[in-house]
Amino acid sequence: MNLIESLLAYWPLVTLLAAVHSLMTVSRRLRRGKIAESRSWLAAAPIRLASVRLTRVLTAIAPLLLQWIALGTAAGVIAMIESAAAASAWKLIAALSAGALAGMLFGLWMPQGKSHTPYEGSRYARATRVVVGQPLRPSSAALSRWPVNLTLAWSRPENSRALVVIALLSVQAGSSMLAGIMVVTMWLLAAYLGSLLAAVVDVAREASTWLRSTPMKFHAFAWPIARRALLHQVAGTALAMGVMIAQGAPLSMALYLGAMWLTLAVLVCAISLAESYRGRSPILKAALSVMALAVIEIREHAWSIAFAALLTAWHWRAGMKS
Amino acid sequence: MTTNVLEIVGVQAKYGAREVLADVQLMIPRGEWFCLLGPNGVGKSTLLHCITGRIAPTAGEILICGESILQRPMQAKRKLGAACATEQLPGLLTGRQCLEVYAQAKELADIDADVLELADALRFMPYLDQFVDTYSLGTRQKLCVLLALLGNPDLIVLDEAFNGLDPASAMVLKQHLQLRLAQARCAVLLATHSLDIVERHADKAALLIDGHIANQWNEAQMAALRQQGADAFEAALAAASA
Repeated sequence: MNLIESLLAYWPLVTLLAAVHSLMTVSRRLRRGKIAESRSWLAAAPIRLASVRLTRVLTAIAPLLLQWIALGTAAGVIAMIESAAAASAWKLIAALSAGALAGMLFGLWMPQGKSHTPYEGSRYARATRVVVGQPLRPSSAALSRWPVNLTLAWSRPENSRALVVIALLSVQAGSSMLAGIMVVTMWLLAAYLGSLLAAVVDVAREASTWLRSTPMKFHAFAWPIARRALLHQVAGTALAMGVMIAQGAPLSMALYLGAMWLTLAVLVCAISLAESYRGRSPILKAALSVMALAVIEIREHAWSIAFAALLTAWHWRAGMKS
Repeated sequence: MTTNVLEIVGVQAKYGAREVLADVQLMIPRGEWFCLLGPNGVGKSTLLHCITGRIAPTAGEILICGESILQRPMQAKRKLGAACATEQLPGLLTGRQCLEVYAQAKELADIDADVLELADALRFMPYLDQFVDTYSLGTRQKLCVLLALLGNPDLIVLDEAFNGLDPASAMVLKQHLQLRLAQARCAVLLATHSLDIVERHADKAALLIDGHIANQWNEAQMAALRQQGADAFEAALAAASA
């Protein structure tokens, strides 16, 4: 129940965050609702405007209502288990509800702007700088930007805001600003590196399907996709290790965790690239390999790195041979 | 002497237990525009997927310029230019990046000037530096065709490539393909439902029904049908499908 008490201590901030969350949810869902209506198979049907508006509002606020019911249920359970914490739980829910209600009403009232922004994917992707009249030349450089662009597309504000809220809430009360920044940095780094690894898996599958009818060799396919993503993994892991050490973690522990993450990243990249190139799904093989890695690591400390190196080499070779 | 750019011998393909292609035989010589017809779901796209190496047939052989797509896929794919489906294009790459990556994948030293000229004629160049996921269906279709034509392939495989193209662009593309065929640079295999393309441009056509070739029209028969005037091919197709 400490968490409830801690949150309650910052109730104005909690209320503000709930209002921002509610406002963004409602405005995003209204915008998407308008796009969906324009594409709906019922777009030309003679449905009353009042019904359309009511449906639009209900669809926009539905997730907030569900979240509110879930919170109410949680508070009820807490009240049943520990009556002493019940009052705090209800106070917290009241603060959250007030913020959410204000944000919801503001979201419904404020103008939506242009509703036709269906290109969510590339909206946050970085376009390469092109000089006017720049000639086209065969190059696989764009393959290396693809996983990074996909990660940026996945990390767009509406997807990242929940993470930012969690990161902010995970900062311990009374800690210094520097410590707070480090905690938030660690969360954001972890999310970026995890998304980037998932993006490599996704890009390997999509690129192999797209390039299936070309005579592209494995190394020409795999290395450009992996290159920049692995560079970002190394840089991100080094930064995370630095933050961990600055937060007081022992050097050996930071090195160990960094090495384990990079081992995992390289292994998953190699499996997904090799299997996708061969026209197979990498998911099961990657999951089994990670499980085997975990079992070996539990039994023999650091031996999993050697095991992962062997597996990576074996998959790379299998890709080269296919 | 005519050389076969594509030879399909006794190809069978299955999805699980369901047989999609049964003993398909086709020969397409250089300089020929061959149209593959048939109702929805009879295996046209599956046959094209077998030719492009996306699906391995359960039996039979597919040779592209004498190279087996099953035994020597790299050598066979060097002779092949296949337009992918529009939804397979990478949305987070620009048109320029797609052309550059595809040219690299095809091991080209340079991007063909005539492909760039075609891109200009198709009015694709203003979209070159935009992300693919902002493209309309027609613009995606243009990019798919341009990618297929990179590297002067001997066999051009197109699946409903004229879908979504505006009439002017469709005409430009047909003229470009006719020019390549007239210069005997390639053969074209087009799966389509557009009978006007078949009537006006195809040298030969085949009707695929329930996984096998139900009927084929050779050059003389196609010429005879053209002589008979409008709707003659439609009637012939209906009769063959019955």
